[in-house]
Amino acid sequence: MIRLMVWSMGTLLLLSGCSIKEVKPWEKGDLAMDIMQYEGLHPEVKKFEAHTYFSKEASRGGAGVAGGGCGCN
Amino acid sequence: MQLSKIAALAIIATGVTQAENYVSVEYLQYDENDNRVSVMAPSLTASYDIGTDYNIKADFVHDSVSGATPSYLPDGASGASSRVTNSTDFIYGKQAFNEERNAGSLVITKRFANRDELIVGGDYSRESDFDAKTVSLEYMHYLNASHNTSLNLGASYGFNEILSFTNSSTTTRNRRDDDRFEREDDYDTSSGASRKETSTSLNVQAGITQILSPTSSMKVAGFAIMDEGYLTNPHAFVVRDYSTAPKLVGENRPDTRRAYGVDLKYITLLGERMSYQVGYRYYTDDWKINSHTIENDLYYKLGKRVTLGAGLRYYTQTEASFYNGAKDYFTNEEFASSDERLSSFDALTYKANLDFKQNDKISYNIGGEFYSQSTGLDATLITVGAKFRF
Amino acid sequence: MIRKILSTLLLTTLSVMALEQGEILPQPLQTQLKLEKDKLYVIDFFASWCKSCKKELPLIATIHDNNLTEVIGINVDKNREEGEAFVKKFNLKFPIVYDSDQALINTFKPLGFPTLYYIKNGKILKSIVGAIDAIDLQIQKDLKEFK
Repeated sequence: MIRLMVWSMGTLLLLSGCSIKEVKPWEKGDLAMDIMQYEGLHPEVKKFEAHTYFSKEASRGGAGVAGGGCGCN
Repeated sequence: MQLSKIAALAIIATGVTQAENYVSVEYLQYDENDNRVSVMAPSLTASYDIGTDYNIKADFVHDSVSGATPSYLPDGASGASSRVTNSTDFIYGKQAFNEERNAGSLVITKRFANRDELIVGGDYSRESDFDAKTVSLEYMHYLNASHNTSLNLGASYGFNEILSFTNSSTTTRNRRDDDRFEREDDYDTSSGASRKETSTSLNVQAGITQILSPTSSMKVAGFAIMDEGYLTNPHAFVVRDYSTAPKLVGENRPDTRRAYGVDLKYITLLGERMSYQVGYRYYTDDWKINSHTIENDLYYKLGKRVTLGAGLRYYTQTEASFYNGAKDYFTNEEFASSDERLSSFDALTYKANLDFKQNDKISYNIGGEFYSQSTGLDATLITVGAKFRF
Repeated sequence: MIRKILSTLLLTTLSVMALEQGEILPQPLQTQLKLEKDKLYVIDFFASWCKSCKKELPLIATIHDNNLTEVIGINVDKNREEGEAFVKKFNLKFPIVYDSDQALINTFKPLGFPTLYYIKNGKILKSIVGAIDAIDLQIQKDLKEFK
């Protein structure tokens, strides 16, 4: 599992051009944009999407530990 | 030059945190093809910052679920549709149901002087035959003074109560002529016709978020999920001993499930107005289900008020070791399921959405998604909502 | 114009090292910020995208509005229009310097953001790095210590 994580991170780094720049605190304005958030513009919709996939598919996990179960699976 | 003590002690977040005050209402409409499941789900979410160090967020959703799910049924209905056209005893038809579900969650975030975050959450979901309670704890720790790297650790514990049937035979159930099959007097605990089962779920996750540049970042996380207890679907059936003494009985799944996986995400700004996010998740469990998920999302700011979004998700899974969809497969196996959600299939989701900012305080959103599985399941998800910031 | 170019060049050269408590600001910087002798200034770096700035700025504005001391805000939005809209939205009445090329903040190089500095006669007396609750009360407390 750890090997898989390290391999995965390395792959993503390759995708990013093998560069990690030191970003200063005041240079993070673009990262603060609403379109730059991992949960999208509407986390409530993402939550319902996840619920849909949980009830129609056989796998889950990876998007954080919060969130409860349902009798839909 | 020496670091000033004050600066060293009070290294803070860069304001990238998204906590803010708002109330949002969303209406979600989910519909499947072939008169299967429909869900209407209004939801309400509120988020409030208490000073600079605390945030409290609560949400509530009410699902009204109706329709029918695929299942093996006794074939006594004239004109019944069936996937197994040569069967005269059992058909793979649709089992009708109606359900109302209420669910709510509360999340409290505490930010420390160094801007590490502790997040405590609780979820509660209730429907007529399922009751779920979950508590979760997450901690986000910055690994460097620049706050470009953070370690995220989380764990949640869920306790579920499920109403199951003592008599797993369908002989006491009613049949109807329109291919539907409804239960009556199912939840008769006093007569012993049903009983309460329980299950627990432990979910742990560890990950790292790394800012790569002023316009990109990535996340990688590993997770493990341990389910124990009653994991069977009490409404799903299998056919056993079809060639000798055919009978329709409730399915039976193992009472433990161990799952592991890795989740990767990358997000980048393209130009000044467009962002692109890609994610990959690998999942595997001891039911022999492996899955791959790839998600892509694109957002584009059209002017100052309108944001357009589009997305594509691809999903593929292998089948559970105890799954078989054929009615003449199972005999005396301990574990057996014909629930197609445990079968092998691919799925694609196409998404589009629009967000409109009326002003700094009010915005509206509308979105549509089309989900299609290789099992034949198609579904649409429509969302409409509004957000009020204060 | 030439003076501005030379100031920027000098500031760029000096921006390799962060400015810390006890240090004297370079003269071109003092000139650019129009710092007067014997006056105590609160200089606050902020941006429209900074969530904690939205909480702090109205409180910092009360320091200026109540004439407790001189306040200068330095907006570091790369898009100056966004910075101006932000200032207008919060109705900030104290002097604002728009640092859209981020040369000024690259000279100060604070360890975090937002950051507030107390400066008198060009000397950094103290800095507050980060968001804190009730920053106006903290500033009032600090001002008493400096007097």
